[in-house]
Amino acid sequence: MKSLLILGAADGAMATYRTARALGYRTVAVDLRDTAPAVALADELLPVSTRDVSALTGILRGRSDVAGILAPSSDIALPTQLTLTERFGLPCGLTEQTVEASVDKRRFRAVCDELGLPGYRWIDGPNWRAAGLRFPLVVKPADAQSSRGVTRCPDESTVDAAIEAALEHSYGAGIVIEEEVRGQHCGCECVIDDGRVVFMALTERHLTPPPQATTTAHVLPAAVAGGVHDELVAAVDALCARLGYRRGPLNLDLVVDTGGRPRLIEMGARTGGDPLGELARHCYGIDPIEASISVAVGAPLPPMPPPAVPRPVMVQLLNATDTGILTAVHGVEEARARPEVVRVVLLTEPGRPVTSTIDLTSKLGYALLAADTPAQLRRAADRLLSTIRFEVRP
Amino acid sequence: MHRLGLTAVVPCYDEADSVAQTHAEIVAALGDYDLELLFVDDGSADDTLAEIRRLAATDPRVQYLSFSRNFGFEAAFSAGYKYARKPWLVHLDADLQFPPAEVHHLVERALEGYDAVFGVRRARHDPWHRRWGAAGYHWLGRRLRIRIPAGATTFRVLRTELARRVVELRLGTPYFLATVPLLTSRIATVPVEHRPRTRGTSKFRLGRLIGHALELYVAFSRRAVHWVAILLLLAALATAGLAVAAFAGWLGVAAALGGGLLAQCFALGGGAVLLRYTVLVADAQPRPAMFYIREASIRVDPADELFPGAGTALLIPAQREDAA
Repeated sequence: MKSLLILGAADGAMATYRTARALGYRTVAVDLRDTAPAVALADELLPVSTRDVSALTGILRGRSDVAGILAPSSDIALPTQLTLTERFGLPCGLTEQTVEASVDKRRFRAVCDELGLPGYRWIDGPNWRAAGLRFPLVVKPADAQSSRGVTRCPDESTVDAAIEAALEHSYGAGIVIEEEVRGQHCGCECVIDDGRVVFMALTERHLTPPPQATTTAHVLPAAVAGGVHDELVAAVDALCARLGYRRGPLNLDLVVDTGGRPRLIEMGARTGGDPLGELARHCYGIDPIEASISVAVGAPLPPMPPPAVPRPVMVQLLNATDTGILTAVHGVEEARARPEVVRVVLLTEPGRPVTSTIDLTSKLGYALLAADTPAQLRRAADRLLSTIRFEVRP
Repeated sequence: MHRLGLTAVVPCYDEADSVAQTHAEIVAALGDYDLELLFVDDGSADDTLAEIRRLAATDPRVQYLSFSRNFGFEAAFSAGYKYARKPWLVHLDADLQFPPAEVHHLVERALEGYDAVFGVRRARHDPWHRRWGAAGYHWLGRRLRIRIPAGATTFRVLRTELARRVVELRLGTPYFLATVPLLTSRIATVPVEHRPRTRGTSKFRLGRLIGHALELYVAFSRRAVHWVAILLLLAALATAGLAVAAFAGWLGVAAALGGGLLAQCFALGGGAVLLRYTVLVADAQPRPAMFYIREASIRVDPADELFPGAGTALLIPAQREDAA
């Protein structure tokens, strides 16, 4: 039986472990934390950092079962994926330029600017005054992902603290400061084959209010103007050509500005976190995660039928409204019984500490919803949030 | 649902009346998977093979193996497990007392990190002697410290490579349920529906089930033989004591004789169990394979063919031992 080496076992990677098993592979998790959520789904755990190339090289030299390596929902592990696949002659669609643009926002911005893609004003480093940037600004680590260390600054008084927070989360002590783009925040899951987009799912992101702006829900398909999709496909095709990226998954963050133009914020040559893949499957019948596994093992991509009428779907993240110790979760079975509810996943259990501050690590679970219309979907989400209640002892 | 590759292995023996409906129900419930249906005709004496051929001609997902004679249930599913071509398999009996729609629950559990997931009946719809017999069989198995997942049935989803590894062991006994825990600890059970049999008749007679249970106890536990050895030793000591007591005149002849006969009863019972163990030794001797395939819709190992290289046998008129 062939094995897949999966770099990272965070909750965003769980669907990759399940899909790999469904396709008949053994899953070998690489994660320092044996308590990481996806470890329980793996056939084997290598308790090694996903960035420890030399340790993983030593391990891989001693085994012949690994058919492919992939880094779902993790930009940080992409350099490891590229090095190991090159070293062991395993299939991989990544190029050095693709990895650089994925892990370093400065590199990505520079490439977008070179290509003339719609952008926004930004600077490399903290000297925003000299560059004459206008508020509101967004301060980010240059090389962290998933909104870690990202702060929206409405005025000058918040910038220093934001720079400090960004530096704290940066692996290479680099930051970028950008002018905020106003508009609809979106996520985008693509499958690239032969250097071109063969599948694209554009999700509408719902965010918490500033300064964190953390995602609370994704709706698919995104309600954007007709031309956005085509313009985005053309932009991604150009990006792939520039980076030499021929085959594999691609995840993008973007804002469709008030003029209806897509402005790319950042990219990762990997799948998005759970359950974006599942969302795409329920909406279009196409699974980007399965495609990413096919690429990792050098197999043909699964069929990508022409787009059918998409089914409105969404993922609603679940968070506590109080801070303390979780004592009980109510209403889950009642929610599961509703026709619009496809799946409810809980990522915690009573006895664990929880917080009402919504950030990346605070979510207690999520629900996948599907309905005939976007309006039904919104009503179903409202009902869900009033049904599932987290009882917390302060 | 993921495009999970799944082979439904369906052993059949005289199921001509059931095969078409079985196929329809499986396809309706599991058609969203990357599905293969592998029927294994265990030397049926009715038109089972003709029915399967008819299905294979119209549905490309259907494959089949047909034995050269009736080799038994274990041989049938072992052949199915060996030749399943998808990464996962589900074992479905042709009577479909386990509804195919329940397979989804087993698959979901398997994707959580398990190599084998067994269905456990929520409520069993079988005659009382089958239910009581199963309860006693599991109870004694546990006493003998044989590791069988509690309540596990033949309704199971497995990694095909694991199932194949079990078959390749070519154990003297083909007892699958007790062998899987010897190979992996990633085993789970899931409660499933079970419905009364509505067509055909059960091929499991009481004597066969008892023989099956005995085979499990002797092949997978050494505790039974330890118990018997102790019993025989006690019987020997008791007989010696009775003889001494009789010669010394402490016991009457009738009492000594009665006691001796009682000890002999235990000794004979123990001897019978030990005799059963000799079957294990006999199993190690050269003997025919577990099964021979006369006809198949897929490529099979020549070692499993009755006449290697003869190809399919679609025109052999008499496939039955009792055919004129």
